[in-house]
Amino acid sequence: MPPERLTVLKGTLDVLVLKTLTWGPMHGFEITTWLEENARHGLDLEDAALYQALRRMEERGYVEAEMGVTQNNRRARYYQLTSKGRAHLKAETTSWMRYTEMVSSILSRPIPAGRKA
Amino acid sequence: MRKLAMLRPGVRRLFGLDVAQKDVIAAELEDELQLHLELRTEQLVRQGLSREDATSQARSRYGSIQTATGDIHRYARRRENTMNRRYALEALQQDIRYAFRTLGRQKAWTAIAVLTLSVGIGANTAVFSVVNDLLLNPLRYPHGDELVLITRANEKSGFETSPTVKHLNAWKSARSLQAVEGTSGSDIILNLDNEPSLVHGTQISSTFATFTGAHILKGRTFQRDETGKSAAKVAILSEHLWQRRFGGASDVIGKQINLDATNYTIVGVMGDGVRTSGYSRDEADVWLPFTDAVEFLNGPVIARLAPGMTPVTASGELKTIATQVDHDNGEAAGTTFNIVVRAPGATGKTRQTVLMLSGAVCMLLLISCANVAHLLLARGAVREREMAIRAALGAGRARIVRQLLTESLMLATAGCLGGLIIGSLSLRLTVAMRPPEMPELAFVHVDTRVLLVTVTLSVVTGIVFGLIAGFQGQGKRRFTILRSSIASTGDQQRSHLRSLLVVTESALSVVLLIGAALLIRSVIKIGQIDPGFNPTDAYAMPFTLPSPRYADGAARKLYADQLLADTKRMPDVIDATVSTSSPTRSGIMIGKWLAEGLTDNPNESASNFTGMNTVRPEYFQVLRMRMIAGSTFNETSAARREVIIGRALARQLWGDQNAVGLRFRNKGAPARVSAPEDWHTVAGVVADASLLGLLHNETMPSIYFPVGSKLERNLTLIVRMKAGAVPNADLRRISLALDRTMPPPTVQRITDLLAFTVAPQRFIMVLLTLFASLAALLSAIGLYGVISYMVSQSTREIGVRLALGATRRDVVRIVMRQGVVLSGIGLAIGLVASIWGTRLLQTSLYDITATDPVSYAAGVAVLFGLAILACISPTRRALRIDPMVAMRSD
Repeated sequence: MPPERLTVLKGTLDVLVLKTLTWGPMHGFEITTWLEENARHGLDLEDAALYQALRRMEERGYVEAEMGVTQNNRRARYYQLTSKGRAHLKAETTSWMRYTEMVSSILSRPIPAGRKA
Repeated sequence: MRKLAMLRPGVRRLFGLDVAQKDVIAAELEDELQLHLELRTEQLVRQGLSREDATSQARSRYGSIQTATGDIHRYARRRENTMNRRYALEALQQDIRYAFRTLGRQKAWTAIAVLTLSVGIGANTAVFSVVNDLLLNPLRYPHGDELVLITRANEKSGFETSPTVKHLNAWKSARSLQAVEGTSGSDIILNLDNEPSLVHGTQISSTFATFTGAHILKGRTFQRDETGKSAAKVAILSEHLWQRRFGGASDVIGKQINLDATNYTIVGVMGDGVRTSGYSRDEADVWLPFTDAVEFLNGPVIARLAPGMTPVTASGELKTIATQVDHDNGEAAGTTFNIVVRAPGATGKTRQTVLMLSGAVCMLLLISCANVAHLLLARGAVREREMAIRAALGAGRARIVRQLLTESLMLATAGCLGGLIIGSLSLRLTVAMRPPEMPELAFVHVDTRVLLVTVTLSVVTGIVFGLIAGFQGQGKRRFTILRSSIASTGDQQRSHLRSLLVVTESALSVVLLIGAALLIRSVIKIGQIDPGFNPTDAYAMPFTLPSPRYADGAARKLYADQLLADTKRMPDVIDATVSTSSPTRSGIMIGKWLAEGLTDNPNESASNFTGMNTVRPEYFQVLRMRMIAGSTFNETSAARREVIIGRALARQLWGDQNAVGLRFRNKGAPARVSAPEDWHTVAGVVADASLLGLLHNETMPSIYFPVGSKLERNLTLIVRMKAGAVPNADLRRISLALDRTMPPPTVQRITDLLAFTVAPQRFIMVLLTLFASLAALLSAIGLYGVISYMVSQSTREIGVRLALGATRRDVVRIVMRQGVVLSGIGLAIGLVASIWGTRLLQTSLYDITATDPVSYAAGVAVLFGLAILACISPTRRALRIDPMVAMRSD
């Protein structure tokens, strides 16, 4: 039984995909596989959401797509980061880190003595 | 994973491999998702599931994809659109850069094409702007289409005069009119800082400013209670007066201004450019409120028709009102007046002239378009190979068309810019050099609608012929073109087209040339008119003696005598005199004359006008007018009611009989034999003179009255100087010495005054000659192009002939024949067209018929000569052909 999976928080899928693509151009399934393998606590990723995100980012110019061929000689659509996408990734990463740090710092405060948890 | 070696996106696009449409997007998406499904299934199989389970699990994870597909499609489509837009923009930039390069490589060709277009567009814009201004909405008031001019016309003679103020006031309540305005103007003396000067003042009502759309720059316009019976002493400055004499000061409102020795308060400043319909056409320097003391308006009444009213219905109602007004004022019941209501705009002669000029300039535009077409076709021939190569390499038809279009458009744009420059420069020149007799030209400027039309026309020409030229080599013949070195296949069509163009150009040019020749001859004939006196070195100085200083007739005589005496003492003066008016500015009487003893005059002149002047005895001698019979006045002439008449009047009244001593009277006056004041006695007969202008002297009767003991307010000093001497400075000095408060006089050369009266004719002649020259030049260039092309195409043929023994003369004949034939056809067509078309010129011609053979011959000769000239260079090139080289060459 695989460990309980975390659902992707709204708005973070984009940045996850972008980060994935920093490892090089990939097609849709490769991105899904990579995320599933490298997410520490498992990731419940909806396929539809992924392709939506990819197309959305393509429209915004964060990634660009080209037709390519897989190892098994199948035609696949490969996505790669653009410079605009890289910049967006960098900015989003920074703000995410700060946000999570802020949330973590508040949530990890010990409960004051004498009160119920 | 590896990617296919990707072609760079740009290359793919160039070869048209990147055309993505909706179907392709959808197909791609489906493939992508299908792949995902397969890979997921395989992964699950690897993890241990059976194929069936794997497939179903994959599908279930896949499920929601279907609903999301719609979204994905949308994103994909939007992206395609963005890409396409960017692609199109890039392509356009490419096209423009490429067009720049190709056009730049052939600088001469491009320059000629652009210049030709510019000239055509510029000339057209200028002329049509003038047309628009003079004919269509010359007054430029708001609601221009409702405007009408109203005059009174004598029912019998048709002669039109302006209505009086009483009529104007009565018409204000007419139902057919929404608003009625009239102006009255006069010259007044402005005294500013003790410096008197003459300015033009126009009286207006309180509603004038809104009616005409005039801008009030400062202050306000008049109020109702400031006009009329007790017109307040208020004034509105014109913009130019405010700038020039008050320095544009912002505190000018409330200041006082001295006009005709009375102080007025300035209440406002009106912007320049307000046109009035007044006959004097001078732009007002200062605006004054209408006083009831004014009786006469100085121009037609302008009004706006009420909705639904036509000029005809308005005319009827206004006539009823006007007749009532006349009756109430006890006017002579004899003459009835019709009220003429018509749209403003130059009428009659000016209208015809302007229309003719428009026709002429249209022809010029056609010729310039034809020439541009020529040039494009010529270039098309050269580029046929280039096009074929591009097509063979895979450029789509659309791409090539787009390229050609871009080039044509760039050419058209350059031509338009050039045209705009030429057009506005020409208009500025027109304004600067306009004859004083055409003051309405002062306001012309480039009209945007006109510009739009001419630009569109030229652009369309450029595009059409650019495409024709480019398409000549398209189609299956591509390979033939690439392979062959002989004249390409599009040539047949092209040379027919070009010949047609040359013929058209020649025809149009001939028409213009003949027209110009007619006008030139006309102007020359006008120059040969004998004005009846000697204007050389004669000067006229008109001046006004203002009351109250010179209210008394005797005071005026004193001034005039003193002025004359001082003038005669000036250096270089041969002779001088004072009279009421000088030639070309003569006064006019309305009336007909009867000899004593007759009740009717069979030789009566058709017009009502008689020129008149009040002169001193030496007048005729100063002006060197020939005294045919009798002698000039003496001291008793005035008392004895003697007059001197022109020969035309003498002939009218008594035929060839000696008129001296005979009496005549005004036809409308009573004829009591015993009352000497009813009669004039002829003391002398003098040769007819051009009293109103060079074209007016023919049969107009003229009467000269002797100066009596009293003298009028408005006088003219006439001075004859020694050859070359100029009296201006001395006269100014004398005038100031006599009376400091009088504004300095203007001194005019009588020769100039005469020339002004025919200035419109000269102006038109210059314009038409200019057009004709340009047209002829362009035709010659066009012909040159065709012939030299023909020579280059027939190089082989000529070489063969030379080798077979043709003489040089034969070669010349071959080449010239083409040119002569083409021009000849054009000439013939043009001649026929001229005979029909020059009828329009008839009213502008003096003493020349529209079918004057000399002018026709001149026009034909000029074009023919140019045609021959155009053929010279190609002929020489043909003669230089070396038969050996020619036969071997491609």
